[in-house]
Amino acid sequence: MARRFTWDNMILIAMSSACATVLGGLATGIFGFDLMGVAALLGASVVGSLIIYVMMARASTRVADELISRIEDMIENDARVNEFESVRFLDLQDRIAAMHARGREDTASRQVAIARSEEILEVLSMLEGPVVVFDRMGTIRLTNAASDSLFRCSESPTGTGIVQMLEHSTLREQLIDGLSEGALHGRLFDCEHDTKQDGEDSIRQFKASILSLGDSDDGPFVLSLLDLTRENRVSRMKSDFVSKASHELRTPMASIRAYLEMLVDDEITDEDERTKVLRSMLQDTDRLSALVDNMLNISKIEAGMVRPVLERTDLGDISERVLHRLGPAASEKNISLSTSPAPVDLSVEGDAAMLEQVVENLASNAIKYTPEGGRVSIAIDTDPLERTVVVSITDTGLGIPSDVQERVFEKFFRVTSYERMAKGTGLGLNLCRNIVESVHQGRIGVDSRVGEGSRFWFSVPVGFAGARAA
Amino acid sequence: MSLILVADDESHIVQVLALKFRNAGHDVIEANDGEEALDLVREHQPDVVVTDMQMPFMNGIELARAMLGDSTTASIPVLILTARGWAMDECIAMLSNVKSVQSKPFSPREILSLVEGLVDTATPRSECS
Repeated sequence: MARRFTWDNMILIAMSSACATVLGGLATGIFGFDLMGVAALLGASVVGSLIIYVMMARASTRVADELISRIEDMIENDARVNEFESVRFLDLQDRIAAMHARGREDTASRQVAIARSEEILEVLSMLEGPVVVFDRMGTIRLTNAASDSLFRCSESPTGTGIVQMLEHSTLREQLIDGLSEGALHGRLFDCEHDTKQDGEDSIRQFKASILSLGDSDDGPFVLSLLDLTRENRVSRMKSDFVSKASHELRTPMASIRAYLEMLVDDEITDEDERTKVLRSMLQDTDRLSALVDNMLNISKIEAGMVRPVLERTDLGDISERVLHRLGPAASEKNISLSTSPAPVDLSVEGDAAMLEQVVENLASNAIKYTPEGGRVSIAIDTDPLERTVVVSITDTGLGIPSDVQERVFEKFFRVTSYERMAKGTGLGLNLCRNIVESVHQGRIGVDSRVGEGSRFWFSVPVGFAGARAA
Repeated sequence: MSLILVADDESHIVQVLALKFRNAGHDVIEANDGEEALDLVREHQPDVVVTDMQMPFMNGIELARAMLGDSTTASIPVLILTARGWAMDECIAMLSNVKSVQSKPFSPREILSLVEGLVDTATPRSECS
C-alpha cells in the first residue's frame, strides 16, 4: 500500500535533508571542493538523507506502536494506567471521538445532500413546464421530463450546448445574446418553438424566464418555460367568437336602427311601405332574439351550467310535433314535409325540450335551404347494436360541398352558396351538436352531395328508457 | 340627381338605404352580393357605390379593388359599410377609390349626406353635368 504524502513525512524529509547537508559539508571539507568533492557531497547527501529519514520515521511511528502495545497489554492484564498515561489516553479518546463525530456528520451531510438532490429531481419531473439548468458556457447540466419535447433528439441533452439544442426556437437568439453579454439573470421573454409536428399546432408559444442559481451572472442558470400555446389558442378563439358575434348582432341592429330613423323622420308615408318596414323590423328583432338565445344556450352548455331534465322521451312524438309546427313554412315553399317513425319503441333517456329543439333546427334548416317544390322527410329508427335511436332529416336541397361538411357545426360557419337563399344565426347547428354530444352523449353528422341534397342525422343512447321498456 | 348603387346581402339594409336615397331624389341600383354589384357597376357606371363589407362571392374590398383595376370604373367613389369595426383598415388604406368607411348600425341621414358629398367632389358625369 502506498504511503500517503503527509506533512509529517515532509517534515521528516526536510530534517533528513538538513542533516545530510551538514554531513555533505563535512565530506567537502575533508575531500576539498573539486569534482570528486561535489560527487562525494551529493552521494553523502542522498545516502545520509535516506538513513536519517528511515531512522526518524521509525522513531515517530515507534511512539504510536508503543502506545498501541501498551493499550493491548493493559487490556490483556487489566492493568491500571498512571496519571500521565491517563491524560494521554483521554486526549486520544477525545480525538478519536471527534474523528468519529466528523465522520458521522460527513455521512449524514452526504445523505441529506443525496436526499435533497433526489427531491429536487422528483420535483422537477413533476413540473408541467420545461426546466433546463445550464452553466455559464451554455452546457446543459440538468433537464426535466417536460423539456424532452423541446429537444429534437432521443438521447439525454445533458452535457451538450443549449444553443445548439434549441436551434428550432426563437429562444436561441436570446440565449446567444445573453451568454455573450454575460447578462442572463432575470431575463423574461416570450418565445416560439417549432416542435416539428404535422399540422398548425407544431408552433408552441412559451413565456421563458432565466434565473441564476448564484444570483449573479456566473450561473449556473435555470431556464423555466411556461407553455402558453393552449391559453393563446383559447384567447384567439374567444376573440374570434366575440368578433363574429358582434358582427351578427350589429347586422339586424343596423336595419332596425335605420328603419326607426326613417320612421321618426316621417320618411315612410305610404301605408303599404310602412307595413313592410314594420314587418322587416319584426323579423330583425326575432333574429336578434334567436341569436342571443342560441349564444346563451351554447355558452351555458359549454360551461357545464345546464341541468337537463332527463326523462323518457319519445323521439317519434317529438318529430310529429315539429312536423305540425313547421307545416305552414313548408307549405309556403310548396315543400312536402313528412315523418316516418319505425313501428318500434323510439324512446330515449333525454331532455325532451332540448331534443325537440334539435329536430326543429335541423328540419327548419332543411326547409330553408331546399328550393321550392322539394322534399323534406324525417325518419326515426333504432340502432339495436349501438342501443341508440337515430333521427335523420333528409332534403332535396342544394347539398353541402364535402370539404366543408364537418365545418357546418362550427360557430358562425356559413356555406357561401347557402347565403343567397336564407339568413341564419350561424349558431343553430353548433347548438344542436352541443345538445346531442355534450348533454346526451350522442353523435351528430351530415352526409351530403352537392346538387342532390343533404341528410343530417343524430343518435341518442337509449339509456334507462330502454331498460324500462325491456 | 345621382345614380347610386347599393350592395348588401342583407335585403333590409338595401331596402332602407334605397328608400332614403330615392326620397332624396336619387336613382338607385340594388345588388345582393359583390359579383352582382360589379356587373351592375360596369353596366350602369353609377356616381357612387355604397357597399357592405362582408358579402358572399365577392366582398366590399374585392369589389372596390376590381373597380380600381378597371379604367372605366376606377374613378367611382366607394363608401363601405361594415359590421366588423376596425378589422380591415389596412386594406382600405391601399384603395384610393374607397372614400369612407362607416360602421353598422348607421344613420341613413348621415350616409345620404356623405354620399352627396362624394358626388359633389367627384368629377361630374357627362350626362349629369
